[in-house]
Amino acid sequence: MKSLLLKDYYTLKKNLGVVLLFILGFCCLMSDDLVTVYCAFYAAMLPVTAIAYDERANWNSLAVSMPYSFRDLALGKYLLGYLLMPLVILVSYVAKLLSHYVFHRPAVSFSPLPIMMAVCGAAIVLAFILPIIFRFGSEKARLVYLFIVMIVAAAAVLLMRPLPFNVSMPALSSLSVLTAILFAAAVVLNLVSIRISTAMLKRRFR
Amino acid sequence: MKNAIEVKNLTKSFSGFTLKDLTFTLPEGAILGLIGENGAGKSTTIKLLLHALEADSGSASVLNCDVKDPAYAALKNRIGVVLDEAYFPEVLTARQVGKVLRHAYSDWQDADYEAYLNRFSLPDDKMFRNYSRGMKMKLAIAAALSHKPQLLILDEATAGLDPLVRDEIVDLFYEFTRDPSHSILISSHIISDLEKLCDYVAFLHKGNLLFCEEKDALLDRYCVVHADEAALRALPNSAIKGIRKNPYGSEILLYAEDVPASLTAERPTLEKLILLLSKGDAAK
Repeated sequence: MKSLLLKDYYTLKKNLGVVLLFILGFCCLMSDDLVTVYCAFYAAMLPVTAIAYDERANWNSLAVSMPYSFRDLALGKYLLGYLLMPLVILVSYVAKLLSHYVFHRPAVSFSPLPIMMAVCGAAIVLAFILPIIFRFGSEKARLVYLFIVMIVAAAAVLLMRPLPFNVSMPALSSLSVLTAILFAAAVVLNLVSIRISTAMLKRRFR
Repeated sequence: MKNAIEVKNLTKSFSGFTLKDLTFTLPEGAILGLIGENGAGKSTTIKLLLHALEADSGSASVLNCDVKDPAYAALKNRIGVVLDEAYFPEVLTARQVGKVLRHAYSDWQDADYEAYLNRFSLPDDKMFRNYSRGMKMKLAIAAALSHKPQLLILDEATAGLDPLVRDEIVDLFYEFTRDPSHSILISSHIISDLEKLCDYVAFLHKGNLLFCEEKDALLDRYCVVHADEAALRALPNSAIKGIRKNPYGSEILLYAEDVPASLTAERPTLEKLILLLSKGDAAK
């Protein structure tokens, strides 16, 4: 597995540098919590880019001749996503701190629950997108991903709009419960998704 | 004698093509050449052996392990594979390929890999996409040989390479089989390479295995004669194993014992034998 992650790291190294710089710049200009959410979802997109590189090189044709199972090949992309999400969020927080001290932007509050929710949400998106990409390839899957993100974004906008009646923000305890539910959903969906992706990858080959 | 590869009644169907009832063995320490026209089933056979494809029926075992066995994935540590293209990610350098493969193979040898890079004069800091085709294939061969494989599976590994590079690579494969526990399965269009290299030859034609035999025994069994129309008519139809007609006469493949005393026979090259058996078959 380490070799697959290392290969993806080398493949994405250039992209990753640009993305991290972009996030740094973005976070310096805006200190909204939505940036963190955006970062988590962007990180979930990076395994799709890695798969696109693999497809261009026809890497899987070689990889199946190596000591990897189809499950290893599928799981590698999930692990890449799980590793990149916290990394990208960490970068976004560093950027926010920088923007506070350098550009005197509002102070950054570190609130773990929204971060956790963002990561779980991105992991759920990953669970939906990867089986599709393993079945249909990265080009079609990118469209599906954009569609999913648009639905999620539209739902978020709708939920965050001031409502015509008086609604108070959920209590912290409700947020904790919601986060726990999201976390459980992310774990279950990802476990199921890994099995489906393995089957899809096999099917694509055989 | 142990077998490095055993294939029994292997069948795989696609729409418009079936690889039928394939049975052959590759003895340990030997080199088997898989010959056949485009679409004959060579790459399908190799994919079935690597378990990249699932057979419809039959069985295949490699290094005494059934390819369907879950343990086969780990056994691939002992198999070096070179496909028709070197499918490394194009932004990786040879050095990075080495670092990736070091973690992929349990018996990866950095020193061997370095030595092959030097031997092939491959720059280790140049991106793979900037390599020539010859360099790419050399890198794939270096990678395949650097984890102490017992078996090499080569699918058109020498295709598209110039004769000098091919000769260099064929020499390398010879070196590999100096160890009696090492074996090679090689598929190629370039029959002259296989003639130099192989102990056994398997000939696939339209998804059927026409023969799998020891190369020298095979070449000893057949003879090629050149005959005019009258001499051709004198030969019994059943004796003609292959024929190629041209404006000046016919080139006829016969069993050595069937050659009439009136005709001069020559030992066929592997290329001529294959050509007469496949194309000649249609002309008969």
